[in-house]
Amino acid sequence: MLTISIVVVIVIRYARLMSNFLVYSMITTALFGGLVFLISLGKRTALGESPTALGARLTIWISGIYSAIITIALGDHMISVLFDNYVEVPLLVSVSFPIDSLNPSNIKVGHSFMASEGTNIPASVSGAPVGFRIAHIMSTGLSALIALTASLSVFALARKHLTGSPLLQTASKVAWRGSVIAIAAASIKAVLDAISLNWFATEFDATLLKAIDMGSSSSFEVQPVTDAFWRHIELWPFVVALLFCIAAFGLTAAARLEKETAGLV
Amino acid sequence: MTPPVDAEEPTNVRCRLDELLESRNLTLTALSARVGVSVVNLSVLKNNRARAIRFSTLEAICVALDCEIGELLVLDQ
Repeated sequence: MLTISIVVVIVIRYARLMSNFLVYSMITTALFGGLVFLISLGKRTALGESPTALGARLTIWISGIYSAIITIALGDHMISVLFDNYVEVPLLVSVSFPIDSLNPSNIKVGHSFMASEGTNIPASVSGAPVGFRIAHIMSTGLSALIALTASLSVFALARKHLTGSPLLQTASKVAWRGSVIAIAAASIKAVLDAISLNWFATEFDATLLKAIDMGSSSSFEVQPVTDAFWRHIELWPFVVALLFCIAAFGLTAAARLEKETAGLV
Repeated sequence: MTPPVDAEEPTNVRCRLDELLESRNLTLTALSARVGVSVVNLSVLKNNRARAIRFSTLEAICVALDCEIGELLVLDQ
């Protein structure tokens, strides 16, 4: 119970810290892509001809924690979008500018302009260029897909190694193919995040420079976060991932209980 | 030092439920109705797939079959 409590605290703590990274940071995404790869290797061992109990257990734990972190992070992001009407974007600023040069009426809640060259500025924006918004929603969808496949792996392995369920062959195949999908999703997400964030930062920088030169407030055309259509597109993959994550944990707990009572008559 | 017991490992304990049922002309279903244990669980016991047995189940089966515990469970050397 103590171990589970510690894991829950760590997962919630890190999920909050990583919520921004998981949606935008290419480095973290790449790291997580690597983690997914390791999980897949573990899973390959676990699903092999002679699976080891340790390999299976490790894979269940890593996939489970990973799935929980990514789902909580996505949930945190969705709360920002749905209830606070903003998305957080770490903008890489390549210019130095004084805070006074911005029109105060243009500054949104959460803006923290402490500029120096090459600094990441976490800005809470209530809208973003359409291209970035599309890329960002695709990125969120890919995160949901990774969470979904990780949850599926937990379930499949739990069924296989805890109860020896007859479903194991099908479940194992699904889990193994799911890991290939997860690697592809993580790789695409890393590239997508890198390109879209770089593009947004360039756009932001150019607009900001122009505004500083002209001594006026900066502005460019944006897609508001509050648009219902975009919100729905973003929300539903997360809901599916959340349901799968909860189901995976519920079914793993049930499988564990089944193992405890297996063979007791 | 006593080695730790692995609950997953098969044991040499054998259940003679099928022999006892045959000698009494009883079916698994009939025994299930008498002792109040599901046919599935009795089948697990009969086919030596059980890893543990409750005292209450043991008592109920022995009473229903009018036998001793030692007749139901034997240790294969």
